[in-house]
Amino acid sequence: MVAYLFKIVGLGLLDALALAACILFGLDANFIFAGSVATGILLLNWLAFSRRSYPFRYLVPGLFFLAAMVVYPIIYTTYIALTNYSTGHILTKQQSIEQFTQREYAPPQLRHFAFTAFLNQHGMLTAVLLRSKEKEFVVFRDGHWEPVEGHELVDEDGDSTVDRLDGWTRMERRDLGAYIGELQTLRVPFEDGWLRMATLTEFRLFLPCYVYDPTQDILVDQQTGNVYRPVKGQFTTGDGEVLDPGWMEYVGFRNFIRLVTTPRYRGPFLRVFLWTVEWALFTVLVSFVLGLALAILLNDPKMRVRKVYRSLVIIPWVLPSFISILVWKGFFNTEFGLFNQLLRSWFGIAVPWLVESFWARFSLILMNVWLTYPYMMVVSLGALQSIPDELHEAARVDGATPWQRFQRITLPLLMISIAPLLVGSFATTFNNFNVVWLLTEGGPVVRIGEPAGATDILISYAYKLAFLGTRGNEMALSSAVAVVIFLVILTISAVSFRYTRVLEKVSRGL
Amino acid sequence: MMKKAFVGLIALTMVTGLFLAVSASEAGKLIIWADDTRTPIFREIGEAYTASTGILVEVVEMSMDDIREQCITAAPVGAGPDMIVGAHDWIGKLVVNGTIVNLELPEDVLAQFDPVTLDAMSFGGKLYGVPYAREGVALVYNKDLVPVPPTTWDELIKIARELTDPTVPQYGFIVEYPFPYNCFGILSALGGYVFGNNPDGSLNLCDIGLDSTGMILGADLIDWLIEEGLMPAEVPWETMTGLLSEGRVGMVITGPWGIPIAEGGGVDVGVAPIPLICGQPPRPFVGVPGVMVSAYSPNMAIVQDFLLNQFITKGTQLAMYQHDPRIPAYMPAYEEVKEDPILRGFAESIANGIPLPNVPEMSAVWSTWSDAMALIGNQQLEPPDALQQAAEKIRETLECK
Repeated sequence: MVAYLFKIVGLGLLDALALAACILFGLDANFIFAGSVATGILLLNWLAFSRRSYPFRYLVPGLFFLAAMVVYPIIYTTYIALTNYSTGHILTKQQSIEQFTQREYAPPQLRHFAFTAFLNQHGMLTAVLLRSKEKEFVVFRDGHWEPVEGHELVDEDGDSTVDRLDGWTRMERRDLGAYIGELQTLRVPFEDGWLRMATLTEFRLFLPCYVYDPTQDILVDQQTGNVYRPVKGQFTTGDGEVLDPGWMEYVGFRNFIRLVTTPRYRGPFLRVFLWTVEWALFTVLVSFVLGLALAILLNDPKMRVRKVYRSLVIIPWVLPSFISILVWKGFFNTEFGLFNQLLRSWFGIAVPWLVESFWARFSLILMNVWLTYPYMMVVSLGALQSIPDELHEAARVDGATPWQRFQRITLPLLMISIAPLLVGSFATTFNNFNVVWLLTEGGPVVRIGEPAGATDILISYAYKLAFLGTRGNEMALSSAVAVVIFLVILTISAVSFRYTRVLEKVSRGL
Repeated sequence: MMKKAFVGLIALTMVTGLFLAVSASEAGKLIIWADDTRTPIFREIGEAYTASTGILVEVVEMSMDDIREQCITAAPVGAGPDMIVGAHDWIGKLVVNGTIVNLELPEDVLAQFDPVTLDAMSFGGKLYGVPYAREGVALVYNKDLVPVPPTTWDELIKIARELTDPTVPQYGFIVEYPFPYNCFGILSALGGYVFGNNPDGSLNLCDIGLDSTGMILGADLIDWLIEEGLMPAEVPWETMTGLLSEGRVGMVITGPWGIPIAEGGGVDVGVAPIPLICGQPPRPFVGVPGVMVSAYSPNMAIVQDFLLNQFITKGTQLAMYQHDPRIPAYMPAYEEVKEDPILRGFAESIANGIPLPNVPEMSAVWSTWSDAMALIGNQQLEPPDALQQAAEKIRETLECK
């Protein structure tokens, strides 16, 4: 009963929140969000109350997070890859036009107006009296204005400031802070432009820099008369002069075509891809072999103080990698690093660790193996302990050598539980941006000006394209790279899982 | 409609944290985004402004990168600040994204600023920020190891030879390398430049000077120093500051940001201009921090008043200097503090400086240029080849043919 009450109250609160969100989104004309929130909450209610939906209660949270964390980012990245989203093209066309039509300039002959604001008896701002040498008029809150004639102005204390206007009282200067928000938003259409508050003491006349003509989709510069037309997401004159900011628009497969046809991008792509595969493969293989060897060693009951060893070898995993990687980076420094200082004093040689392509790749894999082998060891230890001892005993009775036992019994049984983890580990390493970035930032240089260095993996290459691009950020181009990476990993995973399913069949056969 | 939803989504995903922590800009109240070193002083300035006008000022602390990137995405959906405190080399990117607005300040106010700082804050001939300081690198030396700073490169090389002994380890002369920012003084002394100027003073993006004779000659000097073992070629910032604060290095080229680190290690440092090269003064990059105004601010009148009557005053500018000693851009404040020896060292060093180009195209230059300097550093390429290749690549990338 209490649980039921709890459910009703909790759901009620959620419904109320969702309703509020829907209304807010709806007011913002954001119907997609409003719609998805509404559908979501209806679904949730149905799940909570319908008997038939009972089994879904366990599936829906997973499906929800799958949609939110996996499906949505993929769709969104693909969408970005089909646009020109980049520095200078981040606004919508509407926002861009709004920016231009709101740009203003003060005419060379400044026209300024002193202002006095008036409040009604409730303390609400009702009107503003604007005064210049030649003109005097009353502005209302909706922005329209009337000549001062026909309004009653009273100067009570004779200091030549108006104290009352149509019965409203003058706002004291010390109260400006409370009303300034409203005063600033007043935009009074006046002559060819508008009046607005320019300083805390006066309004000024401003003229529009540009006027937009929606019928022809052109922007006209009011000072020069130049006509700008939309070309490639930017307002452009006939002779190619462009206006910033531009806007984001759909460009089809242009980014993918650019990736394939521009030598600057195409050149390194294949090299980076191959290295990414090498890097993931070597890291996983070497660390798995090392981890497994350690696991077998530490699983041997004859080994003394196993627990101490186990705790010691797990250290690389426990240290925050952000710190340990930077320490490694210091070790690898050619001039000041620990490794070269030792090598120099022992053998009189220096290795160009992070300076030369081969050694940089070597260092990176070395360090990543150090970071990953404890994980491999821990999962192997667990899997080893799940292999029944009888099998080993039986094999021993049959006279199998330790190597044969490992090869025929331990490894196949181990692979059943470990193979999916290896695939996962491969995919993680494939995209392990942090390790690469913290140690080498993708360097050393392969060719001057090429966006990818010798140790850049696809994801760091995409990052470099996005944020160290030609002209600021190239989000769309790097999204295209991300989509390609996604397809590659999808293929690799699909193939490997098919292969691990074969292993599972083997285990069922046992 | 679709696009609007997506922009909303971008904003939602990228600034979720901000929505929770920060109130969006609203009419009648100023919101300023500043980094951790400047937040306290801007809070003080804000409080003073509130006391005199009754208008609230909220200062939100963020990291430098967040200030720029979040402002670009948050401002168009109305979740941005009114003003940001940033560096002048952001301006290009912020302007082409439509994030900041150009400022109209009276002539007599502008006349009180160091003209270089106003140049730095301008883009396409318009002013986009109020500078409050100028900074750049100089020769920072450990007074225990180098009692008298060198005034010529011959002297510098002599001192470096005497001090350098990697087995101690002790070094005579260290520059953060290969990132070219710190050694640009050497590269520019004989006429090296990044972008040339158009007749109207704006940058000509197709006049790329990485392979200019002056820059190649400068790079030759660096190459020679590296070959002679007088200047290590792989020096990240952490290494440079580590050696400096441990007192293991005689001379470095760094900016005012390196001083607290050296002094934190108990090292007594002096600041001098980088020595002349063949009689020509090095021209390091000048960076100009300042205040920029969001194009989406609903508070243009308050902003104008805040800048003119609160921020651009001798009192505020001096308070900013007291809080974090950088060379004031506002001349009346500079006149008061110019006797400080460290500040004077930096001021002399950057007196001939070149403003760091503020165009968004710089991001293409930095990476390519670093590549070239790295290959010069590890002796894979000779300076002329490396720099010519870099310049060609940049011309290609920026479509200058």
